[in-house]
Amino acid sequence: MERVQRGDSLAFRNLLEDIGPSISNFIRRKIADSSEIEDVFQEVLLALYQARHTYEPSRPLEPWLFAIARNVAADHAHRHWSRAKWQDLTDLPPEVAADPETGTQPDLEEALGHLTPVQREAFVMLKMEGLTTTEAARRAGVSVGALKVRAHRAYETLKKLIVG
Amino acid sequence: MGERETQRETRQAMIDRLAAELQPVRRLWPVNARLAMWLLLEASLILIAVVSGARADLPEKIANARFLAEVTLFVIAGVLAAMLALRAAIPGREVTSHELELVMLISGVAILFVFSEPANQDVALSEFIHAGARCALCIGIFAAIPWTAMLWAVRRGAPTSSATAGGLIGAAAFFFSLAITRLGCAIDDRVHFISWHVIPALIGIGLSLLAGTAWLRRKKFLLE
Repeated sequence: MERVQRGDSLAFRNLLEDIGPSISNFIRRKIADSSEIEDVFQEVLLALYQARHTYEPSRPLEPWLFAIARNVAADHAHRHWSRAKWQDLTDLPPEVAADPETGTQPDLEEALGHLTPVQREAFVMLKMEGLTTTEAARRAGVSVGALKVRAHRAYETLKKLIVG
Repeated sequence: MGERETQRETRQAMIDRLAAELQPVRRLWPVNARLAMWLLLEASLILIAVVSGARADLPEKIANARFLAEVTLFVIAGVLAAMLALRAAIPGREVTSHELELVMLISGVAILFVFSEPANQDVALSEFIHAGARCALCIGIFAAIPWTAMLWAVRRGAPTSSATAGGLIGAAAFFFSLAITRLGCAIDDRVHFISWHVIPALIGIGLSLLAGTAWLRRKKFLLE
């Protein structure tokens, strides 16, 4: 990252290659609509580029990196929900969680889409990535207690949606 | 598959352009160094205020523990808010809710000290307004330069919460301004303090929060 700050293009490419998969995974946990993940990813790259002068070499890269990604994703989600609210007023009624004709229940991926972004993040980190609560809390930037509450709410919502 | 391929190409094209346009950047100075510079500015203002227009009974007032505690608490709240504002401009070092609560607690205690001053009932309304307007103006004047300097310093970074950063910039500048004005204002009347010192400062902090929301938003990067 120090080389990137000095204007080294090759180091910049290498950095993006290294961090690309983690950023993608992070965004996937934050953004429900898969068609928008790539847009958000590119926004994150731009934000990293813009904020590169704020990185302090004496500190670890990960918190800096994920703070930027979290901020971009939150901005995106905010815009998305603003748009969705407007569409709710003018469009069709909201879709139902299960198909009433076939009686099928939503699968996990669909059910995850019903969680709030922070609940989804907590669930994925703990149950799909296998992080400990401490690691997950550090990455989410919240206390362990707050993360446990989010995870608990996520389990409750998923139980209702999948088990019924 | 076609869509995924297009996305991959778009991403690669973007990385190519960013890499091609990459320029060396001047890293931000450490928070402590920037805070020290800003405190130097505030110290100069305090010195100017004391030399040019301190209250006549300042030595006796400084000896009063309640007065000293009030001024000191406003200064501490200002220093803390300044440090947090500078930190808020660095991704990954955002301000926690506990830190914000600490600033509010310290400034709240300082304001309680103001409330403990006696109230003077025998002041004519015209005098109350005339003297008060001058103090309110001083609050604004003493906050103006530090506020601008701090806004500039925070804008150099990349604040992720523009409203919080804006509020903290305001808190830093106006809490210091409250302390400086207290050293110059000879009216020991809690109604005067609340009406013409504290309320204008709180309004200033509120306006700073709005200014932060407008001027500290993440700049959109535009590729030509």
